[in-house]
Amino acid sequence: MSDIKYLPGKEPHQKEHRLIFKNVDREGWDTSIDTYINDGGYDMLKKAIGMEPNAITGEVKTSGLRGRGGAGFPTGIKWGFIPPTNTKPVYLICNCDESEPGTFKDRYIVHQDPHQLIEGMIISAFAVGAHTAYIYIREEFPEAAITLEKAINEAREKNFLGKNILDSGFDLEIYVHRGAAAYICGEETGLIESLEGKRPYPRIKPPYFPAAMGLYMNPTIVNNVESLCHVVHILRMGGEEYAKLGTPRNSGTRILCVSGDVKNPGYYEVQVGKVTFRELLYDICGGPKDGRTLKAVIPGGSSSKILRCDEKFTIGKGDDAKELEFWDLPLDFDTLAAAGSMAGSGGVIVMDDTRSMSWVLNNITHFYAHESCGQCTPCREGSTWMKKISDRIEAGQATPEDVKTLEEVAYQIDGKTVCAFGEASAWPVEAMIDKFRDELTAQTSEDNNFKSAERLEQEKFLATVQS
Amino acid sequence: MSKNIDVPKPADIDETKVKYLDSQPVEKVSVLDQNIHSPATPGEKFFPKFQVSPQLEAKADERIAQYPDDQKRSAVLPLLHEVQHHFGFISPESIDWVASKLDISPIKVVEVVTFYPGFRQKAPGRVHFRVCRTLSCAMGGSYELMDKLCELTKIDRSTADGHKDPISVSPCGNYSVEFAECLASCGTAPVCLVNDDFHEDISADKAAGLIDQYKA
Repeated sequence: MSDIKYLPGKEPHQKEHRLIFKNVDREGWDTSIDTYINDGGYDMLKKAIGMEPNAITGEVKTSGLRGRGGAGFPTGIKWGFIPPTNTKPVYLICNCDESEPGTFKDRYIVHQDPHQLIEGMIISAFAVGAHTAYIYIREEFPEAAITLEKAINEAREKNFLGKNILDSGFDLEIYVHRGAAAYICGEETGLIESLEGKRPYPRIKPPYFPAAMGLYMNPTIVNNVESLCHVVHILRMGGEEYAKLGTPRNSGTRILCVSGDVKNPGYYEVQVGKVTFRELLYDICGGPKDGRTLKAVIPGGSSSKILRCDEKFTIGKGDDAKELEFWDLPLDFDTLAAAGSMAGSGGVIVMDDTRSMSWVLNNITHFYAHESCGQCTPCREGSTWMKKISDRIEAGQATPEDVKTLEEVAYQIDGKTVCAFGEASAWPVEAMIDKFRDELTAQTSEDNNFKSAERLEQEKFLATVQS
Repeated sequence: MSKNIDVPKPADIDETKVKYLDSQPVEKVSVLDQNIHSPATPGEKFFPKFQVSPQLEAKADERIAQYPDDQKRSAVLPLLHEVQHHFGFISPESIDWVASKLDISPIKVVEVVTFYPGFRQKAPGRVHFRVCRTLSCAMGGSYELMDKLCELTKIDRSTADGHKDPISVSPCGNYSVEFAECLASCGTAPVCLVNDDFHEDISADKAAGLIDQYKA
């Protein structure tokens, strides 16, 4: 193994700790299997097939790895949900539908280091007993779909895939399945419906937990790209050693994707919980652009609740409780949850003082109105309704009452839908109103009397029938 | 309270205009005809008309083989991708072909085509721009990029509708534009996809250079 050098101008920041992104922007690196093998690639696969599948799951449980797709559910525990008495075929699905606004980590893995993902998938499939695995990749990554298929063929030639992998008696095929630009396919049960060739209407849990009733009603494990890559490193380091990275209950590294109003937006792999907002946004990302100050941050993809940069938070309970400024919050799952938001998928979107919050809100509500699958009424109607009201606020045609209506609509969606899209669309609106109510209300006026086209039609009709 | 409303009284109904199922054969209206939204566009001339070739059949069979034998329906997305890749858009004839290939009724293909924004039912331009519209790119200037692209290619986006009709084609048929939701490269905003090529950091002033790369 040679020393790792990075492309000029692409060196990792000294506060980074690279595992997954070790080969991203690496000098002399390419996507071929030879490059990967020369760097020690597929050694962990060789180690894994000599182990008991349960032992691999055990290592992943010990590592404390939490899913990197958004929900932060412990990966090892998810694997353990396959019924022990199961006799049906088991499927493994890699969720590469990366479409949460603000998130752009999986893109670099599948474009620059496909074999790391494939090795992680083979090990994971061996651990859960799957003989067929699918990579559900979003349609907007056409190049990566080709790269991955090429990598799969290379791996098959080396007998890392196919029948009787490395004489272990274990068979596995991986196929690439392209989505078609629908955000809802990132939801695991929606993804499964989509893989079955249907509209991706999410299934209700319970009873449709994929580990018991997933793809074709068989036990199915759906994991994010980054989570599956971590499995390789957990095996290399050992679960216990891996768990020393990061902080307790928030182990390992994770890739933070910073975009918006900072000098150096980009991807930064750090130990979970070891970096605060101050370190991330000032030390690593170079702070706000010249002459500006930072106003608000969305910490984990656009579905997470926005945080004000001048807020203070009480983190912890009882004697452990302490008050922290926004800047001193570490970016881990539990702290961000305690601050009322979530670590989500690691997409940090930064806004400075030049941004109008009604404009930001309007952009977000447009996204969710476009992406609601339409299965549940509160979400289908509510997301469009929220979009219409925010259009009005942004255009200066709203009344203060509209802001209240918007808030009510959001709370009517929250918790009343089959999947978490309801919350994903409602939370940003709830938080935006909660934290920037004055700014939003200032753009409204009691004198406004906005009437929609439907309303005007209705009034015209009523005028003809009323005596 | 109501007055001017005309409710047809039974006596007013013209019996000769009423169709009864048992007396007259009902004209068969295809589900496809009613649901397919595929107006002709100037871009059509750049794409071959849908026809089934041995290569297409082979490609389709290869995709179908990736799913369990009793789950051929799973291949509906891959097959539609093959069709769109070769013929530019999903035509009614191609829907019939996909349905027959997978032994499912055409409506099951239609429901997929009409749901996913990734499938289009009308021809785009020879060069199709998909500009990211979502938060980070919008902050980085993607709306300005879209305006510039439209100005340079003489595209009128005024009738575009994000849900029903997102694609606008230039009069010459060479170019088309569409707003996409988050293309997952927020750190290099604004970004766009041109056909299958991805471009980062395309601020409005780089629009002309981008178009130049795709001159025929």
